[in-house]
Amino acid sequence: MITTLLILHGLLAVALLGAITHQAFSTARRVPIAERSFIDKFRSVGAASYANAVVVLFIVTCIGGALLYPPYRLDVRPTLEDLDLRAANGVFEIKEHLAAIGLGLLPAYWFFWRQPLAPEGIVPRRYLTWILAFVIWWNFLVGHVLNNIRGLFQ
Amino acid sequence: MTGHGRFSIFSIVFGIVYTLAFYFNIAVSKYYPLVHQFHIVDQPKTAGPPISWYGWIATALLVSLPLTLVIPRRWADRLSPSWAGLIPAALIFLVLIYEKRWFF
Repeated sequence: MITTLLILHGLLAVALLGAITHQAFSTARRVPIAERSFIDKFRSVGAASYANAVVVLFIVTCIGGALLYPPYRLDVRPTLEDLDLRAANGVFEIKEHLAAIGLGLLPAYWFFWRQPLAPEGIVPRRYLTWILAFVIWWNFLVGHVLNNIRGLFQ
Repeated sequence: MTGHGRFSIFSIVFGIVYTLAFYFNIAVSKYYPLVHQFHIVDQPKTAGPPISWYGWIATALLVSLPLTLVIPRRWADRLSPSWAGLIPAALIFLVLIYEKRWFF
């Protein structure tokens, strides 16, 4: 059951990571079509249409994380302490705080991406999207490292 | 820009209250996974290690939601939209500084 939930949590995180990364890159400056590189094409998406998906995926992924927390607290964390992997515990502490701050950000993020997009919302839209992108990337990478930590630090 | 105020205030207050809640360890309740129970007061060691995270989030929600609804919309809309991004970014920076204790 826990393994299934962990895999589902990881898959949702992948979808969330893709959506927020596309959106974050789309808030960067536009380039004329003739000069477009792969990165330019990557960010030339209808960014506003990702907002609802990001909100839903963030909440559902957090719920998955919350359900996985008790087994982590009982099984994984004591193991990390026994192995004296303080940094691993530290990155997880940061992960939980960033997830919570990210949850709180969602209402403002959702409002500024609400269509039709207000021109005066460009700056907060950019800030909020990049902050969420940082949170999601951090949590994704930390989750994967902790999940594989026994193999990584034998 | 109108209408953003309450959304921005919620995001700002939620982040601030959560950060204060975890810094001072103020949680409306703690979950003890070993015995599968929530408790308002700290339990003896036999109950196993607690999880405060749920309680910190609940604390932030219990403060930020009513406050957001009480503030009149006209007042809320006077807030510059930029604060909705700047304050959470500053909070994340503070969290990173505080949590560096795990690495040194």
